[in-house]
Amino acid sequence: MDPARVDLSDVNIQKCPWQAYQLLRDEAPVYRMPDTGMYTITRYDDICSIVRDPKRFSMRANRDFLFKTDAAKQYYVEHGLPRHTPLSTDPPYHTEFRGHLEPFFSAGRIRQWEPELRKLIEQLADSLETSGAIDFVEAFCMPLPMSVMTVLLGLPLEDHKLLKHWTDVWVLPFSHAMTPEQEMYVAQEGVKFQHYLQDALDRKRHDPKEDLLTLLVQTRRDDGSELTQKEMIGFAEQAVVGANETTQNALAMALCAMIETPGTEARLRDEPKKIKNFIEECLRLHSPTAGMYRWTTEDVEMHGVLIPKGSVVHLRFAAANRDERHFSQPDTLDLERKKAGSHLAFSHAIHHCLGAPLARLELNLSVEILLSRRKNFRFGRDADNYDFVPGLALRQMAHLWIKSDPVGAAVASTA
Amino acid sequence: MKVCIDKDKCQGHKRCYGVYPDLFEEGADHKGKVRAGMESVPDDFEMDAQSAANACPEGAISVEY
Repeated sequence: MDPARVDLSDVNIQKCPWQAYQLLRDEAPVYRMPDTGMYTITRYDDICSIVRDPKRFSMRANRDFLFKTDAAKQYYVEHGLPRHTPLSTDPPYHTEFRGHLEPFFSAGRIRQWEPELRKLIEQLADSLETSGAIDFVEAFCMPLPMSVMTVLLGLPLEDHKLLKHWTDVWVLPFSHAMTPEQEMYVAQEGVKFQHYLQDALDRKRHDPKEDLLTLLVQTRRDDGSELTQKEMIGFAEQAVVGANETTQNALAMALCAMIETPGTEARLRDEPKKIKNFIEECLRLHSPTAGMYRWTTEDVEMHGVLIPKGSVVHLRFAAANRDERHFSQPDTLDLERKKAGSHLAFSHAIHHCLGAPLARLELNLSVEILLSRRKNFRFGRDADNYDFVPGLALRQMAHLWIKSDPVGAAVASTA
Repeated sequence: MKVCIDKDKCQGHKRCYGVYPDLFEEGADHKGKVRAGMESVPDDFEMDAQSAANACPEGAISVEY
């Protein structure tokens, strides 16, 4: 493979990118992708510096780069609100906006949701088909994160399918280039999503509860003013989208890793304290957010490469998470790895995933509860048990066929 | 695990004690401070300490295994 010809949009490389990442890390740590012109950064230390340098590497263009067609952009202007998520802003505004929401997502406050989350996960685990092969992605990974976020937001649980649809559409622009028709569809669905959230926010004013939508309507700035409608909707959109595919994929890839790494299930069953190490290693090795974007506000030179002002920089977390300069034996799932939690799957610094404590809780509880009810997890078919959806920024499992036995099944019946 | 805050790097973003109040608190200088007794991090809080180090905007928090 020639470093000058690596194309991360190539579907075959996406399925198995590790060699390409190694090549880029070693020979082209600042790599200008030939088709998109994005400058791709693959080393751990480089990404850590960039994410701590929001003045030179900004988020400001995040909203605009999604739509190419004026018709789609205009649809939002006429019928809805421009996307306004904390992820698309810079300090000092970002600091203030995010600051209102951080306490709700703090590790301690999220742990208070544990009993409700446990119930949801147990119900879902108990509802899994017990005989034959199942698609774990459809049966468990898809409904769980969205059900959890529906509850946290304070929306009716039965709406989780609707929210799932809207969030799937919301992230389409991040995956690949869209046709004008697709862009229009994304814009139209996006506006419907915004209207739904606005109705829900209005209801919370009259019927406040201990949930995220209530927090949004009750938040007051230092001067006593409320968050703007654009900010409330923007944050609610981000919470739903952020909670969805990323967690879904982390769950799927974790179960896949458990099946593919012999001895792991037994070890986790014997030593449940290792589940949290397992989760961190899965996030590191199989980062659901493979990379994110920044925009340079001035010319920047790195490793002898000039990145001109106004360039798109792609921070390839998935590559940095296997950088042997930071993680020894980086391709090994190592339950003893002390630095496992220092991975970049949630990024670092100001835009570090706000939902990380929630994601970790869901992942840890899911593995714990699944292991308590099922055992001998294995692939369900002779071949083609999993595949990935093409996409640049997100690493998404299309399906995962598995089989398992109930815990407590008579030993004599296993074939 | 040990956790500490570099006072020179800390710019008072407040994220550490905002998100991980079990481990950190606001110091008299309005900068982050590790809570007394938590410099040696209990097992249950190791992941939180690592996350705090990851999330600190200035990279002022460091953990040592």
